[in-house]
Amino acid sequence: MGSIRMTQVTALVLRAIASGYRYGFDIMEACGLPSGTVYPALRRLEKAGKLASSWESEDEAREAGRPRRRVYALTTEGEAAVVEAERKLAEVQRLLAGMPPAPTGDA
Amino acid sequence: MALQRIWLRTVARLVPREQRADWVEEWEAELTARADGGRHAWGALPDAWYLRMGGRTMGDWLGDASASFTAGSLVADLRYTMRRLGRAPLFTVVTVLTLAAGIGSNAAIFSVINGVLLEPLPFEDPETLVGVWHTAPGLGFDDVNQSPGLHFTYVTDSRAFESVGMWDDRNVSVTGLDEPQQLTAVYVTHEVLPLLGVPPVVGRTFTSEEDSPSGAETVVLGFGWWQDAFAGDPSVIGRTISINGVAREVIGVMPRSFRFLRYDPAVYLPFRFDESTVTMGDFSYQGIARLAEGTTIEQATADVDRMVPVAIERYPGPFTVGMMEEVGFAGQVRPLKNDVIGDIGSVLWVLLGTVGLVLLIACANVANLFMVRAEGRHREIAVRTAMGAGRSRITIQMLLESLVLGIGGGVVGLGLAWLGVKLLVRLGPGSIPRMEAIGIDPLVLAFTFLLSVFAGLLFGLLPAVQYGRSDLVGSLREGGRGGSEGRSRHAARNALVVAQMSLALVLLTASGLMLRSFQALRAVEPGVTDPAHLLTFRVTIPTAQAETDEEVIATYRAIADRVSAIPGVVSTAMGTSVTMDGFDSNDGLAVEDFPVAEDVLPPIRRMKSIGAGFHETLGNPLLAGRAIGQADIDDGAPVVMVTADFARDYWPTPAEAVGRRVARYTQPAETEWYEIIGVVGAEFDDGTSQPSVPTVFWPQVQRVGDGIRTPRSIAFAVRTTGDPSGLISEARAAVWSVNSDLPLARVATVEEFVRNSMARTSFTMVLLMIAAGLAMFLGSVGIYGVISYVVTHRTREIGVRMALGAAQSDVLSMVLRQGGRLVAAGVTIGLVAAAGLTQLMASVLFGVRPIDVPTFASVAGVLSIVALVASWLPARRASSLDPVAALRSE
Repeated sequence: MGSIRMTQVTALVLRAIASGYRYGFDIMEACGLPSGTVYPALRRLEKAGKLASSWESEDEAREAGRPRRRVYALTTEGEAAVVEAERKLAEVQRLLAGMPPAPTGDA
Repeated sequence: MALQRIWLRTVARLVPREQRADWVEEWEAELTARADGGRHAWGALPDAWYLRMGGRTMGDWLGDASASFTAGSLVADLRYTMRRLGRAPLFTVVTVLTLAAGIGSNAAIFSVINGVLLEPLPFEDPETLVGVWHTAPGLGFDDVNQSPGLHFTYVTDSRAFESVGMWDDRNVSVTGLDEPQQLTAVYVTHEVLPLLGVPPVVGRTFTSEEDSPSGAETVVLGFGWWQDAFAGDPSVIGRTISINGVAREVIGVMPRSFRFLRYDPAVYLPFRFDESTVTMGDFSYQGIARLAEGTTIEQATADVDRMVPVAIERYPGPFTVGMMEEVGFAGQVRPLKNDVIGDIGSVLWVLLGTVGLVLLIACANVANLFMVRAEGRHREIAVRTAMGAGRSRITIQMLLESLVLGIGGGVVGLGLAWLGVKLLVRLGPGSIPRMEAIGIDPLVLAFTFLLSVFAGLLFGLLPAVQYGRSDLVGSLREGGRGGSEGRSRHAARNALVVAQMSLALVLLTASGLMLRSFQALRAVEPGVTDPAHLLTFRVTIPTAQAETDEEVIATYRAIADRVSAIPGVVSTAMGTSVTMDGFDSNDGLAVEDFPVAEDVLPPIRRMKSIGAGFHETLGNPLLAGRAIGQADIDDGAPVVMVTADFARDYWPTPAEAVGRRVARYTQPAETEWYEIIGVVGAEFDDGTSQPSVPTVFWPQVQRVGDGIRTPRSIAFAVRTTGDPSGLISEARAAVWSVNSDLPLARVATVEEFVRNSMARTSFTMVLLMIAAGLAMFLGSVGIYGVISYVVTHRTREIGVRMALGAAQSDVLSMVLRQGGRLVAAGVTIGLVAAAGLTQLMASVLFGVRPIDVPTFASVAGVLSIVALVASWLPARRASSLDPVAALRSE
């Protein structure tokens, strides 16, 4: 379903799902981002075909003693996007590592 | 949890219908799955927004909006908006006027709140000015005034005050000008005027020397009287005028804008207390002070508490430290503003809330108009979108239109507010303090502007969100012929009408409760009957006019005889105070049957001295015993009368009070007992909205040793057959025929006192009724609009039904049912809301509970009828449609 703009938010969300987080709020927590940022990102990724969402089974929910939750999983296309996401995140890491300390005093 | 649920359901309205159920379930599951889920609930809004806007986040939208928002495009958009509005003059005028009514009423009430409550007092550093009061809960007094003994102690011993003063308002008579005049005066200690920090416009204020018995007699003039009596002549300084028979030199004039707290007196006079003779008692003055730098009100109160025992020691009187402790006598220092504005705040906030609701109703009406209009633009918007106009740009244009209308409404509203404020000032004199400070100032302008923008956004956002989304193809398709509108738009319009109905019901209930309060006040029997035929005036006799008390009483007698001889006068009586005239005097009272221990303060009671036939003239019925007669006065008999509530405080029935004895509180050895000979009905001396005041009536003349004693200031009450105002000049002539140097003061009918005591209630009632009427009108227009719109839209359907054999009455009831459902929903919600909100009015109600079933039932009935009539009009139009024409429509 085409490419998406790989922002840091999208990258983080993809990475979280790839690490096994399945529920919206768990992904949110893993990314350390507010729900108002994570959810639109999930919607966008799903619309772009990188994610697929479905309801967990009634049995699963009953076992956990709570209402059924929506589960997000990577599609094949999404798996490919994760690679790109890793690259993006690594780039960020590199940037952070190589960043010289800010000059002190007035610039 | 419940709140989260409401929040989700509300936000869910944004989510496209087909996704909505899933969306709500997902969010609810996530929120319940986590203990701290509630913290994340707000994120539902950006999520829903994203879905509504077809895949664009709030951030994207704002980014686009600001990108498309260059100066040039703004001007172009504005021009486009103006052109569009110009093409729809009726829509524009109706919208602007509706908003103007809502915004204008808010601006008017806010300008009153701003002037009265928010604006600082017009003195130097007003926040460090305080009123110095005391409290004695053991006596049942929240507020105890200042006494000279305490004042002098605070002056010398206080650490918390930079300066302390004492003042009181009185009437004085001025002679030696064209004709004798009775004027309002404020007596001050020499500290008071400098303490306020407003210098006189001419001359100077009092020195401490002039405030002592040995100093020169001086007077400072108020600006208004200086203009009236001396035409503003500055050479008045140094002139001598005779006030209360004493020649005083004019030393200064206060500026035009200067008001002494609630007063605008003609003259300021120094008290000239002799410090060596003052006592700790005599709590009949007002304390005022400026806090020392960095001192808090709490510290000042503690300082006063520390000084009270010092004052008792230094100025010995009937009180002991033990007595004061027993009644919990303590300091009570509070911002001076409280003394100026009193408790008007509660009324004003209720009114602001009221007009706020009117504005919401107005916005709902305009939002409805907008949605109807936006529907007409549906195709246009779709075409513009197809041609590449950004969605955010279109939304901005829609918002711009509503903002322009909002600000237009604000400008017209400001004009209405300006008129409204003039009306308010005229309507409520006396019932609102600081009238002179009310006006349209920058803060009011800012408030009005913000309100206009808020209103613009409020009624503009709903249609903008409703139509800002992208069902492009659908619009083009639907915009064709006779398309039926989306359900959600229908629902939104219905919701607006229901909201209007419920808001109108809240306002109607509030005004209904005020009306009931007013009726309850009118029903009180205040201790006076037929006050419209009672003239009253005061005469004060200074020693310069009559040396001895015998001369004073002879003068009173002569005046009473002359006045009684005027044709049209039924009877004349005199007393130190006529019911509700505001001259109250209270003192300690001993009751023989109920002795109090020596070191306990006696109860304080309202006291009046009266002549023969006082209650007969005023119309307060005698319930037991007999009245004080002329023989009692002549003999100086030791007799008193009391009110029924006084009698019941001690004995089971008023009749049992007769024959008991009371006395003014003094040292036990000096007690002179007076026998209760009669009991009259209760007196509402503090106004009909206050509790009745148990009162003791002493004879006007009392024996003291060999001589007699009589008060030097007396109120005459004159019962007339006709309109008393026609007798004023004859009464004045009668007084002057006895002594041409005696002025008449406080000439009024007792009816005026009664009316003044209800002024605040009637003022609030009138304003609430105007607001509620406006609300009901706007609400009815709203429901009329919606039903008319529905009828127009369903014309074809109605035509088909009628062609298939539906009778006129079927169509009528079908349309009416639709209106009825909206009314029923609105009234139900409104009743629930009113039950909660009217609790906030409890402090301005009298004799009626906030939840008053008859009021609630009748306003619900009235509103339902009016709203049903409003929906019946279009329903009738629908039922009289010609089916053929209806089918051919569009």
